[in-house]
Amino acid sequence: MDRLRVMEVLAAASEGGEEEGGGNFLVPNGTFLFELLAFLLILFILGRFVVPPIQRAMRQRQQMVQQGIDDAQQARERNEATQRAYRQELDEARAEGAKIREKARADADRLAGDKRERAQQEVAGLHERGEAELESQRARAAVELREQVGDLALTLFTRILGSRTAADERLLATMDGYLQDLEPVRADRQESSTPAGRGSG
Amino acid sequence: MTVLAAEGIEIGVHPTTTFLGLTFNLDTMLATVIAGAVVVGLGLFVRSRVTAGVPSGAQLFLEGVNSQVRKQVEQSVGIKTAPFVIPLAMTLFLFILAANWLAVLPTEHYVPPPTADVNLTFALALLVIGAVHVTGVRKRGAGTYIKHFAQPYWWLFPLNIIEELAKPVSLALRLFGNIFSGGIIISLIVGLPAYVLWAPTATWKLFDLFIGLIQAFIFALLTVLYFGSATSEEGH
Repeated sequence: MDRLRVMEVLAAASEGGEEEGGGNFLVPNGTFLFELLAFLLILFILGRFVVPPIQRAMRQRQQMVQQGIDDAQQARERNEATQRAYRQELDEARAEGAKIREKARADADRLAGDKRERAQQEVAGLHERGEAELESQRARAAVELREQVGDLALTLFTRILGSRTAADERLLATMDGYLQDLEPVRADRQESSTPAGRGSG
Repeated sequence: MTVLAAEGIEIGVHPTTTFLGLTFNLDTMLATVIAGAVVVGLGLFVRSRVTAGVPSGAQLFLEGVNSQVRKQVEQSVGIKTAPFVIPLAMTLFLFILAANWLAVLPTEHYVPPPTADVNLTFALALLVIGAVHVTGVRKRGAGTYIKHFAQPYWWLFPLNIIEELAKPVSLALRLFGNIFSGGIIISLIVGLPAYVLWAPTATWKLFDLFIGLIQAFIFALLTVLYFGSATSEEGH
């Protein structure tokens, strides 16, 4: 049924073409020239006025995109360079800080050492002066005592006995001699006791 | 014919006029003008507001067509070899697409798709093949170009010539046949009862859109490939 209908349609088409067009519809007629000119006109308009602006716009957009990519690349490179410089400066600052700290610590150590040494020297000086003072006071006291011991003893003796005789004078001389004998022994004892006292002190 | 006349569809029948002894198919010419106006109107519309920024939908469509054609030309011919192939292939695609898609309109009586008339398809095919041969001769010289028909063996010369002659015929008749057959299908469908008519009609019109797109693409693609074949040093 369908096949029959197709045949009818095609037969009708063929007949119609022959009837009204004056020939087979598969054979071009004057319309061919019109179509050719029409297409050439369309081609001219599109090729001259439409395609170039579109291609130009596409090129410009491509350039803009490329420009954007380049700018982004440059910005990234600048950012990386800045970060590198920042890190480098940070490292340098850290190194500088460490150096300053080291120097400060060394200075502090040195100053503390100097102070300590000076203080030790002062202490030693004070100690020596004190000892010398003490020694001189002791020597003075010893001299005074020595000067007074004889008199005191004599006074005491005289008070007990009630008078002063020639024997007293001899006794006084004996006591002075005894005291003078005692002096080197005391000095030796003092010398032998002093280093030990410093070592322990 | 009486059957079809009753349904108002006449395939291959054109109202004609005669001028300078030549017959002109009025409906084909009218449809050509409409399709051409659509293409030119779209092109000039896009041109009027073309932008390198965010493109409109119409500009995007034309840019897409341009990109695809350009890519194809680059692969097959080379932009420097034949830069004019880009606008030619673009125009062919857009014009044939507009012409084919006229079939979707329910106006087969007055404006049938002009590609269903051999006058248009032969005109396009002969123009393309003529341009292909002219480009081939210009690119390679007449002697070399003619000699390449005897490649790879001299005795293939007649076959190659037949092939060259067949190119415009096949190009034209392929397009014509596909679109013309669409009209025939419609004329068969209208023979169905009215209460089921809408379903196959809608289906076929949608399919016709697809066929129209494919045929426009094939015509433009073959054009580029023919240019590539004529300008390549390897011959066929």
